[in-house]
Amino acid sequence: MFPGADTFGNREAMFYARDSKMVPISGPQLREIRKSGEHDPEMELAIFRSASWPYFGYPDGFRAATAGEYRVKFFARAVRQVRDFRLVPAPVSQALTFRARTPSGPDVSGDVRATGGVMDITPAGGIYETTVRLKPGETFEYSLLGLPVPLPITVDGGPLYYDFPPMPEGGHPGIAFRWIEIDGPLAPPAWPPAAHRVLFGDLPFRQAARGSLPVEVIAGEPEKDAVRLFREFAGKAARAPVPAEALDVYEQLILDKLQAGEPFAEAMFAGYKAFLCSGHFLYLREPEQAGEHFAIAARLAHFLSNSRPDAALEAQARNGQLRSPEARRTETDRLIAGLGFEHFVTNFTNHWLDLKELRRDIPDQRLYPEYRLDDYLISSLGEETRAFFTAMVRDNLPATALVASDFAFVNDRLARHYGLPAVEGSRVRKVPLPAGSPYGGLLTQGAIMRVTSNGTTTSPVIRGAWVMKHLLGDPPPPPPPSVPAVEPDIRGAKSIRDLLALHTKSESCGACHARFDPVGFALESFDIMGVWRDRYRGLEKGERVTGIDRAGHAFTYTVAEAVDSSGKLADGRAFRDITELRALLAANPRQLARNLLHQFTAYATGTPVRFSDRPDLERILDECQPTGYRVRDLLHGFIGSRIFLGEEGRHVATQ
Amino acid sequence: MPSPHLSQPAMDRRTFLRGIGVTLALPLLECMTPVFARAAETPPPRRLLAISNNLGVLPKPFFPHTAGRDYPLSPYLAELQDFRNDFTIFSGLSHPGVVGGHSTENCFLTAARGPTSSGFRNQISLDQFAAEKLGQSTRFASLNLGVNIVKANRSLSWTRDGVLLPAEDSALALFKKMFVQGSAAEIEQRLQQLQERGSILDAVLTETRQFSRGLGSDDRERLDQYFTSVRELEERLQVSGEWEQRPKPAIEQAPPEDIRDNALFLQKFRLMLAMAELALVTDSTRIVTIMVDGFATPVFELGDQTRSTDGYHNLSHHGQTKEKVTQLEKVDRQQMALLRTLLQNLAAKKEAGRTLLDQTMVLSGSNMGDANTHDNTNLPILLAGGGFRHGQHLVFDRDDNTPLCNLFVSMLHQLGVEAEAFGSSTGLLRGLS
Repeated sequence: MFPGADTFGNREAMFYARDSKMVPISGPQLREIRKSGEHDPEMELAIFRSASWPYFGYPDGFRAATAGEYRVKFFARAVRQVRDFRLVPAPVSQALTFRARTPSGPDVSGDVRATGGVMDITPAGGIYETTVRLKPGETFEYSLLGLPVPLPITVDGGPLYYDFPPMPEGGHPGIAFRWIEIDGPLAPPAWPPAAHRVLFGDLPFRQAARGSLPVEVIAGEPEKDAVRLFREFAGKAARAPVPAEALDVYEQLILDKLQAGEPFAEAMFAGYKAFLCSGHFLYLREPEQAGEHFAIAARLAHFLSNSRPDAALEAQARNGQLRSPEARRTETDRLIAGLGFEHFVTNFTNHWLDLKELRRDIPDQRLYPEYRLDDYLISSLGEETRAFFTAMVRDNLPATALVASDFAFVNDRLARHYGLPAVEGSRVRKVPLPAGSPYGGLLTQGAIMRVTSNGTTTSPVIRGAWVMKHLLGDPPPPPPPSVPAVEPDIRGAKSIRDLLALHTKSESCGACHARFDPVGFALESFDIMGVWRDRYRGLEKGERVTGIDRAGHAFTYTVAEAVDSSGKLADGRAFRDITELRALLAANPRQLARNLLHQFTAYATGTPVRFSDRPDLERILDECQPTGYRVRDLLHGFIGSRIFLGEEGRHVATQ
Repeated sequence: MPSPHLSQPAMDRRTFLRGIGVTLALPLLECMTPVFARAAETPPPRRLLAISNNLGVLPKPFFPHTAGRDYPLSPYLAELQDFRNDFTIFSGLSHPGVVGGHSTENCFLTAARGPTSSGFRNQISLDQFAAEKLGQSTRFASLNLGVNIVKANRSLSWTRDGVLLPAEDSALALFKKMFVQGSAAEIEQRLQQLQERGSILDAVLTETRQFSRGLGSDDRERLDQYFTSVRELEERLQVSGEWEQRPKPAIEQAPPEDIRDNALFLQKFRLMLAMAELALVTDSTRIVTIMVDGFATPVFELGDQTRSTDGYHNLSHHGQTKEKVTQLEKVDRQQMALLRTLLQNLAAKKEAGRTLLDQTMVLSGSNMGDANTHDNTNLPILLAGGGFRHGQHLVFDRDDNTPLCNLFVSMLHQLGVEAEAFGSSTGLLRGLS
């Protein structure tokens, strides 16, 4: 189950056990056992660390022979390692994933990918099964999510050694494996595979005697088959019926090749390639006037499912149904409930909320040792925000959920992160927030706090400007070119307020900063990952905090200056902290809703809101006002608008 | 190995045109005159050779102690004494966020962050970025070479989509690619492949022209972009076709013999450097990368009749053991000497009154600042030639490194690529002119 008798981080990171007690096995002994081929069914492999580097936690002797999917079946239970390397059942489950990689020893090299999904291993244990996708020569490593990642320690360039973090109360969490079975490569679920059917339908094929492909497709009537297959293909690739004259050009290309004696499949490929290079496939046609049903269907599908219209939506377009508000509403609701909606949420939040930047900066390991190499935390933060936004649409929440809510989406890691009552498992789910919680809404989520800080420090200027632009739709003007940015002082000597006061002393700077800094002041209560703080951390001044981090390294930081989260909005309304600010922002739901409409417009049409669009947006807002500007209602309003449907010449402005 | 010697018979332009049978308005072809005697492109083109040893060097004997122009050479740099005004040494440079021990080796020219994280995807490398912007005015837009390299896993060259471009590790194969004429049938076959792509573009263009009638102005603009990119593709096909038909440069030198034994690491490195030099001298390409895969190098010859006690990687984790440090010093110095030979050879070639070294940026560095501790900061970076004002030790903050990509942007400008940014750059590198 493991290539060696130990791993980095010493015994605490991994050992073999029987009857929940560590069995000391040396490398030579392990080799002996393997040679003898005797399998001890009572022996368990216990692991207590995440995959990172250096690590070689992959099944011994396994390598994928060819690219493909492999079934992995194993017996495992969640455990705690207590003193003297004994195992006790864990109180809660432990999340596990596999990572595909080349078996290159401890040094991770080349491509590394999570595969097979996340499994929550329970304390009672059982048989788990998943499918991993591997490239030839690859194996997969065990990664226990959120656990320590031992890194080498060296003193003055001396020999490397490893430490494990101190044992937490209740012991080190981990997983004990009893056996693992790998089966594969798995045959495709259908033969010939779906991709082949799209290209060649039911035509038989055999090993190629000629041509450049390994197989040869046998066509009874090559020319007729070619035209039939090409038309089917074009129908799937294009989002609207293509006139016969246009198809002729591609069909002629194929027929010419057949005439010239090229094998059937090669000739078809030339036609397919050409069609995929054409505007029918590459370009989305914008609806310009009423009744362009196919263009409307394409825009709707690419907006809400990031793909071409499915069969049902295409049928609606063919029947000319998409002018009817009821039909559009039904189709919109169907897409929102569908599987493709996930793609919309991911891409929309990646761009609107900068979630694609979630891994941009590495948390400073001196100031924030608790976040060191915690990939599980980072990925959970992304899950949280996506789940929250999904709920905003699917549950038709008011637009004020952008800044305030009495619930949050958390998993085991996030509940701990936010100091909420513990939950079990890796799946994010909706939980109520206790009264007086500083959290609620997108505004203070860890992902947002993460993308608006730089991994070391936070700046009220940057966070304030970000919130004004992305959540409130009131972007500040760009900073004047000659003014240097405020450089935070991480020694802990000067407060950000003092530094900023110097910066905004001049009236010309101050006037603008007064518009966007205040929101940022309230957000100073959250560190670079969104955890509540009363005081800033530093490296020199203040009370010293020392310990051993997740990588087994000693750390020291200081707790310095108190956070001042009070401020005054540009309109004069003052607040003491995030809770008061939240109330002020939530008091203007129309602004929040308007911003959402702006974001939808840019994402769905590829063009920002134009001056001539504004009355349409205000009309949608008026309609949604009585029920409190609910997000799904806003979306329906937007999809029914001239901006989306392209009626009455949204294009006039650019002529 | 003797340094490559050139002698290209000049070719009659008319003979040549008869031979190709296609009518293209060709500029005076470069291969028709020996490379350095041709009516020079004014100014002569700049070139780039980027080398990285994925285990780096011992930092102590590499970095000089003082900054500025008149710094005393470090023990390693003493090997390059004759060229002290032809190179700049940098300390305090690294790629922000590119940490994770050896997995950073694939990011030396890409600066893609977090190579050990599960969602990692590499980015375009400096050489490919430059090649993309400069277009193809030589037979090869770029050449990507390796020494002892594990080709499937490691490379300095990556595409825009983060796909690995495999390195060529056979000197003989490279030689054939550059200098040995293919048979008429082979050329014919390649031309046919190009023609097939051409016919696809024709079909698309014909049909799109019909399809585009009656579009609004927004769409017309979009379509113009589309036609432009199709035309660019056509041009590229045409250039490829031309190069297929142009005779390869003739050189007197015999094809090299490949060295197969990975223990002959230094000989292999020397051979690959000579091949890179040959590629530049014959103007087969203007952009070359070489990854020196120390990580994959087993117990090897140290160049003084002795063998290392460990594989190169194990050796690099010396833990200050004297025995290992001594061996590493030997192999580091030998590599500095190889670099000296390269600089000597490039400096000896003249092109339009300048030396080839003046026209070629030679970047020599590593993704490891200190392989012993798997440190990826304070990378050892040396830049020679390429027309910069050299001769200094440029020092940046050792605790808060400057992005290496700032140097890359400065190098791109020197190559004639007016890029504002590359990778994690925050501007041009201060102090380099």
